[in-house]
Amino acid sequence: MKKWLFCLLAAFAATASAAPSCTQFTPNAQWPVLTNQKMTPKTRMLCYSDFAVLHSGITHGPLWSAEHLTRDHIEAAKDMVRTNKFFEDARLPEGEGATLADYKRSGFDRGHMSPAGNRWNAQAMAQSFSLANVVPQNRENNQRLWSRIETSVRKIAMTYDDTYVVTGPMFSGQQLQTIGATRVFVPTQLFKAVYVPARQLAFAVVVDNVSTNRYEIRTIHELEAASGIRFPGIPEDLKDQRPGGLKGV
Amino acid sequence: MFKPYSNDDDVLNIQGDAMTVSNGTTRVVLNGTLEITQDQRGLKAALALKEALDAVVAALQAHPALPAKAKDEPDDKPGVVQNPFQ
Repeated sequence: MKKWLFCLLAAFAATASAAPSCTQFTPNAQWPVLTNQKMTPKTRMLCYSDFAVLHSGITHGPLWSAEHLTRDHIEAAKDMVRTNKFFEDARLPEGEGATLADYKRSGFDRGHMSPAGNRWNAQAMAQSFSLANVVPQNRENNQRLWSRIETSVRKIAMTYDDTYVVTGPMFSGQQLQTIGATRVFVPTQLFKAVYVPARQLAFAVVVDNVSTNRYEIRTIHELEAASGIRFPGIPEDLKDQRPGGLKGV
Repeated sequence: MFKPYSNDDDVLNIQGDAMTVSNGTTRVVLNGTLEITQDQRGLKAALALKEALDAVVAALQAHPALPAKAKDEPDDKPGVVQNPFQ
């Protein structure tokens, strides 16, 4: 019993001490907030070296993954050549995280939320292959549309420098698909919330998790309503913007 | 080090996400578009891709009984849950 209590305290201590060290990945040091209370059980904050994830032990994957992009970092990321390995994050208690076996023969890609292609050093790139940073994503979607959206966001960061991005899954409808023995939830949609302080620009991209070339530009307020996640780091007066579209997508 | 057909979890990233070579026990999958510019950066990318593909060819040639065409393995059927977030 005592040992169990110590483990629990140690886990809390680790979370408490790790969390402040990565607030640089979110604007004004304010993390996204879950407004849908049904999403809050079994959530855990995981800091990585250049992005951060809120992991759900219910969906067995991330609810959001936050990153701060700079011109220098994207420039460095474009030169990365590295063999990486998908892995199960040992910080998650047994049963909360997805396993490598869950994805095997699932028919779904392990779709990165914070992309590997934005990671600017070897450690960060390796960490982006944590299963806590991926969701079951339609293959064609991941390889075509989503990859173009990621490239377009990189161009924004190259043009305007400091750019904050939060990427995550959405789960809508009465029933959801799952994969593997852990029953990892398959998202129905994916979103990116993009905020460029220098341009006073904020918007969201939403795509269905199917084989499609269609994406929608939404306002941050619309994304907040649809996702059950609020973005307090983005100024309220920017949350109703809806730019025309993404270049090159 | 990318060892073709040795596991389902390795991914060789070349120029970030521009080109990925995903390992698998039954297939290796290449994805993306690679711009091989006439410079050191292009050479680094070309060498990485060549090394990976050379390893694929070597592994296939070393296979003692390489079939004409491997069987397609069907994907597992997804499960269904009630959405707890609704």
